[in-house]
Amino acid sequence: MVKNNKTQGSKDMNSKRAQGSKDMNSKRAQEEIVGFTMIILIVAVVLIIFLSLSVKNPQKDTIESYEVESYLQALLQKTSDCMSSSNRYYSLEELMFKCDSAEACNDGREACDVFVKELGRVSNQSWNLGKGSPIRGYSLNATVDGEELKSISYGNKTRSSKGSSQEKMRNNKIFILEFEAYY
Amino acid sequence: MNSKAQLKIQQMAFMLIAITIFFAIAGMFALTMSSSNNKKDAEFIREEHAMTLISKLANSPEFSCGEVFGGGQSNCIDSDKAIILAQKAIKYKTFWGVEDIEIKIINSDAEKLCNLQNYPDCNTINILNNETEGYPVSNFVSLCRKESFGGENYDKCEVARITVVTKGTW
Repeated sequence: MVKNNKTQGSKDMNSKRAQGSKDMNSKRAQEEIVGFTMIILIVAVVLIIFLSLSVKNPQKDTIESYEVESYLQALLQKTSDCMSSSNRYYSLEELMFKCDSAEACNDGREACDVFVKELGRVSNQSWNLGKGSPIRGYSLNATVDGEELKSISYGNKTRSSKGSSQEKMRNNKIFILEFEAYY
Repeated sequence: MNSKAQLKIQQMAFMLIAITIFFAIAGMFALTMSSSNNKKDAEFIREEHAMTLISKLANSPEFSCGEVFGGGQSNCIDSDKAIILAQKAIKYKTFWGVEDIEIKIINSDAEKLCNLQNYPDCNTINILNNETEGYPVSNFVSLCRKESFGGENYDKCEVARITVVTKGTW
């Protein structure tokens, strides 16, 4: 009887030990799952943050364009209908300089007004923004020593664009005319 | 023991799936970046070819403004030279190695082909027209001529687009 009791006690002990070991294994497994889930969550969160940042702040994809460079060269050489007091027609390049010094044409029009009007008119005719055209819009900025002189834009500004600039020097001032065509 | 092994297998399966997804996303991102760069390069090379061909033509002595309009102007075409060349196009049929050359002044007027009778009240100078199929390339140029106002001569420059059709591919 005593022996039977001892055997029973030993069985209970073994059973308890086995149960304890099983519980420990299960706990360790649970910990591993939690750790693994954490890793996946961290990777997922990092990826989501990275993707959302790249979608929210899209880098502008501007291609340096020879076509735009040629356009700006031709545009600056274009003769305007603004006449000087010595009966000479100004080119758009000269008109940009006159605009900075707030001069007027022979007929009383402001050089800046003629400059902006000409830029807009020629750009609208040169860059087809109609249906079926890949060009969605454009922007033109004239700056003097980094400060905006005149700026015009038309159509939609998109992520992809091709652009160029022309730099001119007059009276120790740096004039820059920049053009960007969005598509 | 069996349950632990199952758990381990499950864990490994999850890990493999996660790694696969991660590399797939990374690969897609790398592909997008490289295709974007290829697109940029292709556009750049295409423009460079077009520019070289057109610059070669526009700056050739037969077309260029030279020193007549102040000098130092690149991609400037003397329209007086161009209109004369258009009359003698037959002699220059194979000279430039291109099929068509057309210069169109950019304005809102309807296309009006230039000849010696209506020049300069026109907007399109057709220099070569071999009427063969090819690959058109175009670029902006400055088209200049001498005008007079009140007995005084002045330079009249306009923005124009020169289109050249070549037989070869890029």
